[in-house]
Amino acid sequence: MNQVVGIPRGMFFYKYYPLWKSFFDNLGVLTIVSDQTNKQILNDGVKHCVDESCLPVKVFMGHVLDLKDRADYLFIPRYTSISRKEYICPKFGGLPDLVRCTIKGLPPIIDTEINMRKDKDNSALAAIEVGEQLGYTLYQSVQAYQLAVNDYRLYRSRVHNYELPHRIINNSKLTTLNPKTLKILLLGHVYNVYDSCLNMNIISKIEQNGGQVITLEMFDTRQLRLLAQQLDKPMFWQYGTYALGCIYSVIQQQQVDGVIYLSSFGCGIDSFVEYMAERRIRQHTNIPFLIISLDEHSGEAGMNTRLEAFFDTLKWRCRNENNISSYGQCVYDS
Amino acid sequence: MSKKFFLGVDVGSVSTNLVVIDDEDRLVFKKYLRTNGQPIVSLCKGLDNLTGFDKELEISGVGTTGSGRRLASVIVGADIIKNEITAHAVAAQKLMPQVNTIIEIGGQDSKLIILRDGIVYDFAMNTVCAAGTGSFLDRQAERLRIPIEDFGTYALQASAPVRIAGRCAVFAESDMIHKQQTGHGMAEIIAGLCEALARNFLNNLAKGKELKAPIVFQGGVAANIGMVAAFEKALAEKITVLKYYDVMGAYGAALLAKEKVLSSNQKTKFLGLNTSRQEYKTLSIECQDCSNCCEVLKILANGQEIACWGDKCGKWSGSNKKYTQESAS
Repeated sequence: MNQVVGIPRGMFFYKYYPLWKSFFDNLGVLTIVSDQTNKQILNDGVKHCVDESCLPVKVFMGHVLDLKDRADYLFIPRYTSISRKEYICPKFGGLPDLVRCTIKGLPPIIDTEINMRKDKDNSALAAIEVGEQLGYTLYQSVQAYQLAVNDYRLYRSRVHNYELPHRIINNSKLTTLNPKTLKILLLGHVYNVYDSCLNMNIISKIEQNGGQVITLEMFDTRQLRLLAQQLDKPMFWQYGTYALGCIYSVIQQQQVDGVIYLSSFGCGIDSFVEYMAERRIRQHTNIPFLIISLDEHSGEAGMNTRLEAFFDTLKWRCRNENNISSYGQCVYDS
Repeated sequence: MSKKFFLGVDVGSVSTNLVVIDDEDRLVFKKYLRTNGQPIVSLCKGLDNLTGFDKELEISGVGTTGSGRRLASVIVGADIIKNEITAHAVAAQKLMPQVNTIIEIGGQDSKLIILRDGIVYDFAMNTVCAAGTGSFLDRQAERLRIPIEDFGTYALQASAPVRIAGRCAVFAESDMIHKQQTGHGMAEIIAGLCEALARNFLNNLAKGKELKAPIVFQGGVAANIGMVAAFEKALAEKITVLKYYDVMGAYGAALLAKEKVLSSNQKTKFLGLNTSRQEYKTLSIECQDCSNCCEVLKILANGQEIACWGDKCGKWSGSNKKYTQESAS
């Protein structure tokens, strides 16, 4: 069977691609991935998508268009929930339909639902369904999925070891954790943090300013859940639980020098998670906190100025660390 | 030993400022020019002014800041290129070491810088919208046919400022026209506008932040005594406007250049005052070699390329390895 499954490089791509890639490989299905986001994909996406949607969804449309004529199937699973009793953004649930209604002349879409709200093994059932659609037996799919889960665990452990997911997936140069650089927690949705075009290369810019990026995916999720229990009530959103778990971890261990929150303009979840995070950081720590909101503008000057000033703040602090007067008075007061 | 002088250049969206300081941080020359959308032209004009002031002046270091800092650095040859926030903080601290809060309102952006114990603790900048900034005041002054310099005096004459929506420049304008048509006086409307801007600034940038005294106000808008009064009223604190308030960014850049040059013992990269005599041209091209379609900009001096940027892969700029796209590595 020489059918090619196209996987758009958007939304949860940088979260689950290694799992599904391995699953398809084990079945012997050929896969192709859309190009890394570029101006063409961005423009196509913005042109075709409904106006009020957030930028990542628009970019996703661009990726679908990029794959449209190259694949026999499009793999756009319908993610409803990826953890027990929690939800993700409803746009994921509607994504296959949104794509279908927006773009005409598409190859068939594999839109199996993945809903782990009640049952964490649901993704295995989803995999069987995907296999079925492509003409594989239950046994073949189960075996392929089991192997894929092992691969995925391996990948996750690499990420826990401070390797950035997009660099693993794109095969670009990896950086190792250097104890001397400033550690920056870059919080945000996977589709904002790892898409170098959409976020105007923020990770490289942080590195050029002498920082090193730590992301949500590098934390141990079980620990994040425990930490998030400090919240007055459980978060509705899985991302919110983890993001605030990271914030509590930072408050407890002070393992980073600064926190940058990358938010999408118009994102409902970000709109309150960013302020919940900011309030907690400011209340309990002295760690500098910066919010950068992303939208369609491509002028990088605004982001560069904010990042440079943020790093000046951090470095200025480090330089002054040894100058604190033992009298409890400011050394600069004259 | 001859005296050393340092040049600071701040190329902003509305104004281009040049200052020269001596080695005791005193201002010996200052020039505030309108950018008029032509940063290179106004920068050269500023340099000509400096030549006219004293052409024997020996510059030992140059710093550039402002949104056009990179462009300026190529033309004058800068020793240090700094963002506006740091430059403003350094300058304010020099003149008032105990400062805790800096309000800076410029042409197209506004900043709030919070300092504690002599270091920048936190900062905020306005988002894409320019509603609470100088260019909006400029526009309104033009519409009312009042010279912007007199705006503040008018505001202070108001008996009771009217309330104007300051959230958005477009709404503010229609609100102003509405108030004007119901018969409110010019002074009351202008005072209301100043208060709306101050309120907008505090709601947007100061959200959740503690503004501790001493507070300084700088940037072009600080010349407006109506705005100073509006901030004092809103914050119930005294607001200080420092002596070089309109060129603080450039002053900060000069201070930073001095620190950099003296600490590194390097010779300055300054290209000399004659650099303004050259003929500058910019060339924009859209690269068609890949789907990124980068907007590449080349700067030519007397027909020779002196700088190039805007490409993601570094193909055009060559040595410019900064900000290379991840895929290239």
